[in-house]
Amino acid sequence: MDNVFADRFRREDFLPQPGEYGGDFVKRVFQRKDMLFALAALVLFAGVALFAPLLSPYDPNAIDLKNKNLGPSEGHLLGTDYLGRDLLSRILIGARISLSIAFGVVLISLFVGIAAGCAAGYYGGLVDESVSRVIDIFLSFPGVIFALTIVGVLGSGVFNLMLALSIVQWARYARLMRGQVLTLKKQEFVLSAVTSGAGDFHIIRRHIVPNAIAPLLVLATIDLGHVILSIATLSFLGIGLPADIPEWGAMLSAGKEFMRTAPHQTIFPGLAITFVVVIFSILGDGIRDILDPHHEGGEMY
Amino acid sequence: MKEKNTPLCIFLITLLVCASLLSSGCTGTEGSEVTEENPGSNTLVLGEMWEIDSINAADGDGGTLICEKAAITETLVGAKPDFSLKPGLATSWEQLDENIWEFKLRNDVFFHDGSKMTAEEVKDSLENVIAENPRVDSMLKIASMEVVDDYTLRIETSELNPILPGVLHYPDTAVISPSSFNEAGEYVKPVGTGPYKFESFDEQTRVLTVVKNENWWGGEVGLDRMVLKGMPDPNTRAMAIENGELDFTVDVLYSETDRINKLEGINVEKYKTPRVYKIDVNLGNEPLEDVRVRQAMSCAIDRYEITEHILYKVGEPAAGPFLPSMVWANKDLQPYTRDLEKADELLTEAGWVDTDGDGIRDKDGKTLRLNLLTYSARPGLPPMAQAMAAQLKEAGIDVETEVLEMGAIYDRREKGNWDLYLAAYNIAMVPDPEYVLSNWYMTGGPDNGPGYSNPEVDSLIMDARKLTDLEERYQKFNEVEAIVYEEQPMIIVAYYGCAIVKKDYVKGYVFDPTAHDYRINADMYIEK
Repeated sequence: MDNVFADRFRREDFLPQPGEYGGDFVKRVFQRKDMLFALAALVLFAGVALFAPLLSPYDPNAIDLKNKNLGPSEGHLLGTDYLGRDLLSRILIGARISLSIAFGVVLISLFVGIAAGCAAGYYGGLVDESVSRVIDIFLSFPGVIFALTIVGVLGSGVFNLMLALSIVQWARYARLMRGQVLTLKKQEFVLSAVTSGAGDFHIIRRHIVPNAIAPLLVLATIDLGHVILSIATLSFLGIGLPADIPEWGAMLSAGKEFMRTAPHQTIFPGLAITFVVVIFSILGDGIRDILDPHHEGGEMY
Repeated sequence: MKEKNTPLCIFLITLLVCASLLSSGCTGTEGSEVTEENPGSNTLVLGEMWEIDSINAADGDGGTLICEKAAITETLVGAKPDFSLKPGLATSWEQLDENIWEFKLRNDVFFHDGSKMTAEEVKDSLENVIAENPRVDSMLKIASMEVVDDYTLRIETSELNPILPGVLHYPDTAVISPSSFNEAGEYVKPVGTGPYKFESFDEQTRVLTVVKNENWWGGEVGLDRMVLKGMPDPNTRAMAIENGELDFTVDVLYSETDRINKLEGINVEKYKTPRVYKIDVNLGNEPLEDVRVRQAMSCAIDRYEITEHILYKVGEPAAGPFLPSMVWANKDLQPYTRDLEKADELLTEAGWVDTDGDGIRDKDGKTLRLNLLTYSARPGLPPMAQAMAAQLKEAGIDVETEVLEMGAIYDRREKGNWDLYLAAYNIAMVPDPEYVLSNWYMTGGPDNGPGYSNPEVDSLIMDARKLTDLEERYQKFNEVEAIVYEEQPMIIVAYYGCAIVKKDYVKGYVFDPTAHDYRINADMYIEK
């Protein structure tokens, strides 16, 4: 068998048995130590984000000017920031915000991208032409600058930020999906479905999407990291979220003024960002390797 | 394939390393050459806090730079540290009747081009700034000027303007020679009368160089040469003075002032400047039109904690709109100290009580929730806003801070969609209390953001305008200050500070509190 962990999980019926649908995939995930590690870190991280309000020792917005810029100590594990707020609490609550925005953005873009890509690839002709041109237009803008403009117009706030980043992200999914659909459309199982009189929607839902989704999931996994980075970038530039929402990028930006007197204010949020982005990168990379062993890699970026 | 590429790679890397070593070596020798060339020379390199965009002596930023920081030009009227006026290029002035003023000029002043300064040149120079700068024009209110003799200039104002001598202290009104313009009448460079002469301005690197004026009427000038470099980023300025690139700069990050002061060879001095941090209160909004709510807010704010922990003592708690050191300030006023009990009393009296136990006060089903707008161009503002929001919350007032772009703030204020607005305002554009008080507190005044209107204040200011006796005039203004201190249409939080950072070998520097940011004085010299 491939792995002690996998064996134990199989016995408890958490994982599919070898030979079942998806069993091979799971087996290979457990063969890769880096993915296993990343997966464990992700579970830990998601848990922390989910229970952040319970775990954080202080109110993340409680200001205590007398105890500003303190280094890590017993009272404040990661120290305090320039207004005396507990850094650990802010990073924990920030994890929740980063993660929920990232998932929101990726889900919206995935959904919109799949819909647009299917329409373009499946129907072809005028639909394909118009959707593809729209995709081209969106892809021709540099992402962060485009998002900056949108947030600038809409104003700050969690929802506006999600909207802006989704508008930037969806086109990549749509283009990938369109390519997938174009190859799948000519496959025999699709043609046979067409000849047996199945409706368009049925074919797309039952035959095309399940077979085309794998590379999109890879992209989505890596994108989660990218989106977290984009949120941090926008907050760093000062137009992401309102000041009282603890967000890593904003913490980094506010802390840079104290880089030389209290460097922990930039180091810890920076580490948190790096940590999460690396996790998603490893996972995305691993999934791609497993699903497409002939791929030499690198093009995803 | 890989093996084939390896030698090439190594070669490229070596090339790169060589190139970088060479270039860094070059700059190294270049730097040492400069110092070797003038050993022990009296050159001061100054890190200016804004980008040097303009050297036009008549426009707002350029005028301040040329007059106060580069000391190329001088104004007719000067000001003492208590902001009372003193002679500058003019020796005395007199109000002949309501609208006519007569200025006597110094007869020993030469421009940098060697020509003598007479009333004719002063008149031309003032006409130039009136044409170029509408703001100065609106403050001067000059209808016509007449040259009586070489050293006497008579000015007629279009209406009664008691602040005219004060406006002539404004750096943009500094006197420049006709040779500042080319034959086509275009401005080329500032030719003034000050202790330093314009030498060059590099449009590319934005570096302004001035040299000693050997024939300055004021006496000996301390430095041979001064190089002004625009460095808008406070971190860059701090690093530049630490590694010896600069000899003098201002306003490094407030949080770094103590660390830099401890460094060998560098000292930091903190001063108050004529600027205040204040909150405009939107009196058009229902909870805020109640004076008790405003007083309670002022009681809830801990001004001492803010100046100590957010401004790092670059600034001081403020009571009224004027620095206590100003000759006309109402010295009886003390900054509101933090008193949560009094705040609670006042709010309870006004009907705001926390009935649902969520920590926020409410009245008739409405919670006491306010927004506080501010901008980030001045670094003290956003953290100050957040700290005040936290302090107000302890008094049961929920304040949401919003850091916005200037455009968005104008937009919000235009629409009335705001409660509180925190900003830094200059309080001595003109060294006279009338300018600030009438702009801020008179009904419909241009900077009266709160929409404050009090007939008593209006009539006091109108009365004071007609008075020429300074004592009586200041008396009226003190009364205005006392009223607005009581009513708090603007919550004045702290006086703005300025941190002067200089090398220990820079001697003879005297801070001028009347300057807009800081002023370079002719007595400064270097002693290594």
